[in-house]
Amino acid sequence: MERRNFLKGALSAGVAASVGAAQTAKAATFEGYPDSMGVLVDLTRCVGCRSCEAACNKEQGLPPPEKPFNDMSVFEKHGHGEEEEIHGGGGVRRPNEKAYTVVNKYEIPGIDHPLFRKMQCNHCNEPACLTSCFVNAYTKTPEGAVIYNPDVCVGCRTCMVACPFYVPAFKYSSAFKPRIMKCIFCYDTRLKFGKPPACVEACPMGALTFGKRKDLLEIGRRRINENPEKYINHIYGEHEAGGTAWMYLSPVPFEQVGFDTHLPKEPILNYVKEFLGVVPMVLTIWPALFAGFHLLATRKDGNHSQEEGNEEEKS
Amino acid sequence: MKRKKLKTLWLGATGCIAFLAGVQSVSVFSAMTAADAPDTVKLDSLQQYYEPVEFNHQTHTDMSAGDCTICHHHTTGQPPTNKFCLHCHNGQKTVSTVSCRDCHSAKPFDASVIQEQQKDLTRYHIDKPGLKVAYHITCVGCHQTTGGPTGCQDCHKMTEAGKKLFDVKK
Repeated sequence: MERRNFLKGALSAGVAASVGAAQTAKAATFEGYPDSMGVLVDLTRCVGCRSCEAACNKEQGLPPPEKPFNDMSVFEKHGHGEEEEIHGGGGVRRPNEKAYTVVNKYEIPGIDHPLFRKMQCNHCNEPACLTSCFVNAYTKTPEGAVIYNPDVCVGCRTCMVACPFYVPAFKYSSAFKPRIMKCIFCYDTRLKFGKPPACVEACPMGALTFGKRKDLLEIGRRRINENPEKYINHIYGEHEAGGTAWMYLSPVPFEQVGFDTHLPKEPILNYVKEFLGVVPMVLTIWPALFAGFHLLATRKDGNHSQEEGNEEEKS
Repeated sequence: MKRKKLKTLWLGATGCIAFLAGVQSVSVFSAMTAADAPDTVKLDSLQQYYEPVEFNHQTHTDMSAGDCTICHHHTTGQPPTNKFCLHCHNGQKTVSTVSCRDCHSAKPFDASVIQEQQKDLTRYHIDKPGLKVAYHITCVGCHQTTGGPTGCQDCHKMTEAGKKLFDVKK
């Protein structure tokens, strides 16, 4: 009788804990800081001058580039080889430990001029890098930036795997003092003081517009509505991966300019939230529960002969 | 004594304002022409990484054949051609602000500008480019279609600071 009560109690406690965890996970859906800032990138305006790359390099004190920032040969396709480090081998440059932002050129069939696309951290509303980091090296600030603290980073590089845009880069040259290199929205030097990031200030063509994220959505919709023939009717980053601070307008389907158009609308976090909600329960209740089972099972073994004897008596 | 002096000053000032207003009201009914503008305009307010641009206004007005709206929207007294502008700006009035920098801010993303934007949520102009962008969109946009120069240094030479920023080796 006692044993049965204990089992009942343990089971109901387990169920209650898991239900409770599921409920808190649901309630915690976060729709971004209301007054967070962002940047609207308009691909119809970018001319590939690389001023943003130069400004970023200066602002963030990054190492000098291999080629000057007004050298447009970096746009040409390179295979594996000498430029693999910055080109990732696929002909498309990616943000790396020496450059928080890069611009790539895309030749689109049917359009007489190339399109250019700037890449950097998109500063997700609910960043997967932040969720995946077990030492809390990442922070999403109310201003909208996803910043990183190298002091606590252990160099596990889970964030690089978690990021749906493959943005964080690892500084392999300082592997013993782990350091992730990625755009921080110029948080320390500019965003914190209400100033636009260096790249936005440098852009001569208005391809980059800085403002409150909610205002940028209005601006983006206005541009699409007033020039429906000029734009694809979609603001990339409004919903992708739960919404990002950096958003994009394009004159051609987004997959033609290197965007992943198969990203879910939900934050990456939502796919692991329920699982993560169960972790505390597993860690706290399961050891006690199964230890209890184990003890009961071994006790049963000890009483086995006695019980058999009793049964024989009954029959 | 002091008071009298102030009074004459005040009268003088009002007189001046009235005179200027008169000039303004006259120009309201006659659109500006290219002759009202200087032949060359030195664009140097943003000069930092590039040297100032000597913009030859005369050459460009010759090319536009008297149509100022290509660059100046409605501010020179001609009605705009964009249907979205026409909703409000169809009065054919010359306005006192004609040059780009009168409307387009050199610091369009300052917190004060963004705050100002929030004050009137009904306003149409939520997407006004900054001065640098206004220049470049207008110039480059036209140069791309008319075969004008489009390279950065075709219009303005890089300064020493610019060479340092772009890591140009000598």
